[in-house]
Amino acid sequence: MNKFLLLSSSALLLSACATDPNAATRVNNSAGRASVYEDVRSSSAIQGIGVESQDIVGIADKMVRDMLSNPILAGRATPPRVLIDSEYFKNMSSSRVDKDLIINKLRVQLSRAANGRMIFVGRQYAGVAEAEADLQHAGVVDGGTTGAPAPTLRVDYRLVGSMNSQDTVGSRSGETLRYQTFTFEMLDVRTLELVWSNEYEYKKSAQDDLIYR
Amino acid sequence: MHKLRVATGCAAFAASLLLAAAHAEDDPPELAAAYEQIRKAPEKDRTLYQMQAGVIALDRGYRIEAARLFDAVLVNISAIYANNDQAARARSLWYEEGTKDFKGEPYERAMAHYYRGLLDLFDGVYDNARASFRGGLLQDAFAEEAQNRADFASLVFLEGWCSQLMGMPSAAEESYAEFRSLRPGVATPAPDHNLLVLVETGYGPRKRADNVAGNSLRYFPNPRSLEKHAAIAFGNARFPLAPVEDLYWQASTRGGRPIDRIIDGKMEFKAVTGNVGSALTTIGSVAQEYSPLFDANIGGAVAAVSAVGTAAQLASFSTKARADARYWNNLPEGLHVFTVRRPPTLNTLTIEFSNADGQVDASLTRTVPIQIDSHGNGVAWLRSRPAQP
Repeated sequence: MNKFLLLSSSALLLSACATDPNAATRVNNSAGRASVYEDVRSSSAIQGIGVESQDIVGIADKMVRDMLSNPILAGRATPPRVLIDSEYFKNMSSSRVDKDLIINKLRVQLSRAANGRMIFVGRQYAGVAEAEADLQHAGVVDGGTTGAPAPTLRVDYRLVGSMNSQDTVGSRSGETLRYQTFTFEMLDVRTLELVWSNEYEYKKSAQDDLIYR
Repeated sequence: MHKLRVATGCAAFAASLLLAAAHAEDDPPELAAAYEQIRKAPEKDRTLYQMQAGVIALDRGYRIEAARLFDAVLVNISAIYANNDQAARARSLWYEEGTKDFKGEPYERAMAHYYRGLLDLFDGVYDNARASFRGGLLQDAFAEEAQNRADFASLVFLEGWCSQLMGMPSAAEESYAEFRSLRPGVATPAPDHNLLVLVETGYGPRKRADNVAGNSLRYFPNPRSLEKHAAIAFGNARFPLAPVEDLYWQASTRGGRPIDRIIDGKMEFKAVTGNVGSALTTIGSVAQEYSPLFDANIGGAVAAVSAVGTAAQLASFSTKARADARYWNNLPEGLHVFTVRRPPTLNTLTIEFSNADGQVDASLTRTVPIQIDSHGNGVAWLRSRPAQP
C-alpha cells in the first residue's frame, strides 16, 4: 500500500514536470543584489577575454617600477620633462578600450612615485594656459602669484606604444583565446631615440556556454 | 510570508516604474518608442532591443545615444556565459532556445561591431573603430587553431580603411588584399583617399520558426528589398557604390552551429533524424557560393535549406525543443562602399537607389552630409530606408 502511494505520487510529480508548458519560460523573479566594492586587482564574476581592471593595475605597477629604475628617465641631475598621454598609444587589438584608462593610471602612479625625478607636462590641457592668458590680457583676471605668463614646456620624452592582440576562435568548441600585448616606450622627441621600452602581456581563454556555441 | 513577498514585489515594481518614467522624460522624442521597448523587454531580450534602438538612434542622428546603446550591446556580446541557469536548462529535455539571453547570431554580432566601429569612425577614433571591425570579424570567424578565417568582407574593408587613416599602409594593404580575395573586382581605396561613403540598402533577413512545433527555422530575404544598387549623383554623372555585403547571405549560410553538434551528440537514439539534418546543412552551405545581392538569380532557391537542416537537428534534440526565432529586425540587406579624395568644397552627397534592373527609385533619393573628423577625413553614411523600431 505504502509502495503504491509512493509510486503514484512519483508518477504524478513526473507527469507534472513533463507537461508543464511553462517550465522553461517561467518568469525569473530572482532578487538582484546591492552594489558591492570589489578589489580592482582581482577578477570578477563577470569576465571576458578583454582588458580588465587587474590588467590595468598590473600594467601600471610594472611600468612604473621599471621606468623609475631607468637612469635616463629617473637618474638625471636635471629632471627630464615627460609627456604621458594616449595620443601616440595605438590600439591595434580586437578590443575597444578607453586608452586613457590605462594611460591615466600610468601617469598618476608614475607621477606619485617619481617624487620630483621627472617633470610631467600636461600637454592635453594646453588650451587652459591659452585661455587664462587671454583672460589676463583682457583684464578680466590679474597676473596670479606664480609670475608672468610663460611659454609652455617643450618635452624631452614622450610615451608611445601600442596594444596588440592575436585571437583564436574555436567555432566547434566555443572557446575563444586571446594573446594580448601592451608595448610602452619612451621616445626622445628630439632624436627619436627610444630610451626605454617594456611590455605587459597576457593570454586568456574562455569557453562560452553551450547554448551560445 | 506571502504578504511580505507581495509587498516587496510591489515596491520593486513601483520603483521600476518611477525609474522608467524618469528615464522617459530624458529620452529624445524620436527615440522614445525604441527606449520604451528596451524598458518593457524581458531581460533575456534586452540586448536585441538595444541593437534595434542603436540603429534607430544612428539613423536619426543621435550618435551619442547610439554609441551608448552599442557599448551596452558589445558588453553583453563579449560576456562569457558559463555555469548559469540557462546552461542547466539547455541540458534538460524541456529546453526552449528562445529563453536564453539574446546575443544574436554571428552575423548580428558582427553587425553590432560594425555599427560601433562606424560611430568611432565618425568621431575620428580610428584605432577603436579598427578594434570594433576586428572584433566583428572574430564573431564571424570559423577558425581552426591559430588561424582565423571569416568572410565578412565589409569588415575586412573597413579594418583596412582604418589602418590607412592611422597611417599604416602595410597593414591597410594586408586587409585590402584579403578583401580583394573575398570580393574580386571591387576596387580598394587609393592611398590619398580621405572620404568613405557607406550606404545600406533594403531590409535585412528575417528568421521565422515556421511550423507548429516551433522547431523549424528559416531565413527569408525580405521581399520589400527592391533597391539593390546605390550611386552618388553628381550633376549628370553617376558614381556607383560597390556592393560589399549581403546580410541575407551572411545569415543563411551560417549552418552547422555548434549547438547542433552538441544536440546531435546528446541524442544518439535519434541519429537518423540527426543525420538527415547534417546532410541538408552541408548541401545548403555548399550550394550558396554566390550572394543574391550580386546575382539575383542565385541563392534564393536554396536559402532556406541550411536553416531547415538546423531545425531538423533541433527536432532530434527533443520533441519540445524550440528554435530561437528572435532576430535583429532593422538591419539592412546590403552594404555598399565608395571612397574618394574629397574636394574641399564637397560637404554633401546625393545618393540614388536602383533596383536589380538598374531602374532608379526617385522616392528614395536623399542628400546626406559628410561628417569631417578632427583629422580632416570624412564619412558619409546613409540607409535607403529609415530605421524603424
